[in-house]
Amino acid sequence: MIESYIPIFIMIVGAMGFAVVMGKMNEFVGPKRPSEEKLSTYESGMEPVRSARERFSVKFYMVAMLFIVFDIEVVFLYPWAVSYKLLGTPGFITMFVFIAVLLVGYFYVWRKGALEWD
Amino acid sequence: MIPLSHYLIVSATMFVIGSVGVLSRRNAIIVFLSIELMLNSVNLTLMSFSSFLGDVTGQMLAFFVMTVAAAEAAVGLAIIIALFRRKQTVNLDEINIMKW
Amino acid sequence: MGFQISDIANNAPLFTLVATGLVVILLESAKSGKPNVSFIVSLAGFILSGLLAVGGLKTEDVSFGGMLMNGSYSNFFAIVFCLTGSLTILISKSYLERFGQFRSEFYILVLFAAMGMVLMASANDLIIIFLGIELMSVSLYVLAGFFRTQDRSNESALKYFLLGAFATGFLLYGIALVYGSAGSTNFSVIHNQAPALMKNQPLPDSVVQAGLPDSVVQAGLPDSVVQAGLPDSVVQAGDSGLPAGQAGLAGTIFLLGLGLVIVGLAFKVAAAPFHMWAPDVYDGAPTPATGFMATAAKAAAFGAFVSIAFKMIGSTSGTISNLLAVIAAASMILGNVIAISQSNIKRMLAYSSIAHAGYMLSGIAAANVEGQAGVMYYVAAYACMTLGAFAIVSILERDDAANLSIDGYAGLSAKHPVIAAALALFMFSLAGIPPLAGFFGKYYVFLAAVKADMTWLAIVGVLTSLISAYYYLRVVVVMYFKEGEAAVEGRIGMSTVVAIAVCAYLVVQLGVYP
Repeated sequence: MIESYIPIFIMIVGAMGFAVVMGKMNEFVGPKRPSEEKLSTYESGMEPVRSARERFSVKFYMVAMLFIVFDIEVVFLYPWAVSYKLLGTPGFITMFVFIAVLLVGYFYVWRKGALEWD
Repeated sequence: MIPLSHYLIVSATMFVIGSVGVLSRRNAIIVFLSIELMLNSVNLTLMSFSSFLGDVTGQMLAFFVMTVAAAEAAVGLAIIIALFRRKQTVNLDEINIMKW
Repeated sequence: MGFQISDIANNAPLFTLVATGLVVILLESAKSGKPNVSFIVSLAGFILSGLLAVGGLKTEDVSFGGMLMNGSYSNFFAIVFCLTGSLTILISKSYLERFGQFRSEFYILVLFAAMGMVLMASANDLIIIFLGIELMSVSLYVLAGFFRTQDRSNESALKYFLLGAFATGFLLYGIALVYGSAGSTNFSVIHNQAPALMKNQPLPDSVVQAGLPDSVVQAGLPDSVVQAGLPDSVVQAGDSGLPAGQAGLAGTIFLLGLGLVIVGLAFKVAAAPFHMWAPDVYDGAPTPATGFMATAAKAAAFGAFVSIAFKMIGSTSGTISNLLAVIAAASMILGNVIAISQSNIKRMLAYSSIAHAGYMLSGIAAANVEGQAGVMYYVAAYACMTLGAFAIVSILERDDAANLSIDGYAGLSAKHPVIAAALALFMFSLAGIPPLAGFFGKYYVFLAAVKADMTWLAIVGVLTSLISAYYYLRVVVVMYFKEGEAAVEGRIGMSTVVAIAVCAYLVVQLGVYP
């Protein structure tokens, strides 16, 4: 029984090992010649004047949220694609209705101007 | 083969971690993440039962859980942002105009 | 696979709502900012859907491969939802105009929430219950936060969202466990399995006491459910090393799953240990939305509750019955006692709605035919009287959300005798004074409880409704016998008046001719 966990164990070790090795390798292999200019936040460019923890433009959230909603609906398309032949015409009609409903939502979002960046 | 009970223990543990997170954390976003963890533990339970029973219903339900969770995430984040814009905080202890 | 025309014909009310919702969205996208059109279209959609539901009362059928069960039960609830939906729309018009938030989205959300409710009431499968609850809840989260420039509305939406999603997690985990132990999510299949699952467990007592129901009952808080109930029994079940599907373990998982489903639904109906969200959410949300939440959403949750209790579990559920009875008693006591100390009328109505959830739950706990009929009658009666009360609150509410205190209603009878009389009628009905609808609702559910040998529950119910008479009648006393400055700002919307009249008519009608 415990043997069946070996692949999971190998994967965990592999993933952790990879991260540690890559991180450390950078430290050992990479050349290090620090100077004051290099230690500043932006090597070339202006000094940061404000905190990095600032609010993003709200448009960013809007697009991100719309992306989540429309993106996740694709999970319903995969099972349909896999069993397309089996479901035949009724399946096609059903999915057509589903996509039509999605399109209504998309149309609303579009006309409300949520997709415009500026 | 890994027995069913192991999957169930893992998912029950995830569920408990999620619910303890909901009850103990005070940041709205973290609370929301804990709820998502609970939903994902449900998905794990459904998947393991589904494969154990050889029945496809569980997988189907897991799809629905995923999509509904996404819809909830969109609405929830919108609510949190609307609140943040007015109060500049997502700390649940500071969101308390109404008290009995 | 595939579907027939009859599937669509059987679910005509549902599809009417879906079509109306989509049409309103398209209208709003095509010509933004014409909420009057959306108002009329949504109202027409609700009325058409309600009429189709009346027409479908006679046919009993399953559709979509056993996913939905259509018949007198589902159509009765569809009528209740269409009625409350259309009344909410009527109430909302002048209210939203007064607050400068008269937008089509309100109607779209009400329509989508109603769709979810119809799905819940006609569900014959746990998947549909879940989808219906989510469709309803997600729409209601947004409705609660509809006044997005108001702090109170935002706060109410956030609280509702976080606690609602938390409850959904419990409900889903319960569904997953029931599915795993019964091997199906279909009510009919689970119904056949349930007796075997409940009897074949080796240690019924210890499961009940060490597992879920005990901790729910005694500690009453969700964290104790999690910490005391869940991990122990699941882990024990896992440690015993039996493959699930063997009788004893499957029975344990089944009961645990049922318990979690009940916890999730109890959250949605705001029953006693899981009621914390209700007062804050009801207080902060826009008043028409509050009315909709308090009536239609509660009715829908009871629709799902009754389906699960009667169609899925069946009559072999002694443990579940006792659990429900304790939740019911706790709701009645807690809701009524705390309502006494409330000075804000919306919060008072929120606690009263918790108490009414308790009355309705006692009908389900009775687990007999009278209980089912009693709950259905109670849902309709409760919807009319509570929505009527919220309609009047919405008239009197002012811009700054002030004037919600009960003392602010002093002198209302002198200024607006008709409104005061209507509010008095709703309060009398809520208190359960014959011959109004509220009295017969209580009478039926308590009768069912007595028949099920739960006399103690009926006694608790009668005693607590005596307590409730105090705070309901206080409103009437304040309105009629105290001098005051209660006044309505501006014109009272015609549509609101129609809605109040319909509610008042139904309260009397249901009471006099039950």
